[in-house]
Amino acid sequence: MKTKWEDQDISKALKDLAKVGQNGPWVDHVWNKIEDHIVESKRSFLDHKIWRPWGHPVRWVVAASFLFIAFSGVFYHMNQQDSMDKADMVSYLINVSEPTANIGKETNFIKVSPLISEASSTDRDVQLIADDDHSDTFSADDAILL
Amino acid sequence: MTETEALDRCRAGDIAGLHVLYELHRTKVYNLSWRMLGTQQDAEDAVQEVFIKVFDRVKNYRGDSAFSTWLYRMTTNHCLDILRRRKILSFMGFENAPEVEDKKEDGRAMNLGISPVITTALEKLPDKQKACLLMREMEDQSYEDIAKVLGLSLGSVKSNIHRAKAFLKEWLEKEGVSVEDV
Repeated sequence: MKTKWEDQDISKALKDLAKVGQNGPWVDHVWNKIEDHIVESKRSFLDHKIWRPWGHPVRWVVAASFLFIAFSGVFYHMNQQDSMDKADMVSYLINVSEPTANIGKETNFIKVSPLISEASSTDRDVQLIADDDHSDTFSADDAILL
Repeated sequence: MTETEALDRCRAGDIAGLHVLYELHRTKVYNLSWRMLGTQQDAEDAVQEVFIKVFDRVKNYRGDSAFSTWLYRMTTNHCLDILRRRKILSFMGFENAPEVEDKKEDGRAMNLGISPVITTALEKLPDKQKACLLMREMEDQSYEDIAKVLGLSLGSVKSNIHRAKAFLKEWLEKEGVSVEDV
């Protein structure tokens, strides 16, 4: 029994390995997979545009993050609008329900809430109108009626 | 259909051309992948991926070298990529290459009259040495072609083959395997 290996023995053994697996069930099986892959890749561009988020866990995370951000944005915006409306209403009610707060310390002047004054009349929160100024709309109406 | 006609049809996007190339070269691609990767399943996957690459990249083949050289270059690089990926996975602690598959492989090799010892010995070779040896002995490629495929110098190819053979001889003798057994 020869146990001393020479280069040509190694070469022969490796060449014998090359003869293995020439035919087998893998031949058709692998070709079918190649064919399927190529046919699939030849499908039109739009056919590949069907997005199925449940296809992969990462897509689930992406979809959930997108929905979370979108809904958070909507709720935040709605709450902001709501709190602004409430603040305006509270300030209006305070002004209306406390008439003494509308009388200033200066004599001959009445504080008028910006809510019931004209929008373009002043840049201050409280407009000061002279008490003895009779050129307002009521006086004008009275004059016409008289 | 000749190989040149098959290549032309393949370039035109005809799958029949690829089928001819597959029939002509599948065995060598399969055997090279099997010996490089170690399992039948990995070899089948490699054959599939290599021929899909051929279909996609056949337009880049200019005919400077034989088609078989270009194909084996692609196969070898593909297998080396897989082996590199495996090393990274094993470094990260992931398992691969199930034992059941290996035993099945050995059984199949035995049925064909080929001892599994050669396969086991090949597994122990470093990737570059294994690639050089298999391309030289199984595919009968020239040293120049192997050097081109693997991006090595001619001297490096020869020394890799020499070292691989020396290792195989030493390992087989140490294991007490006789030439007649294989």
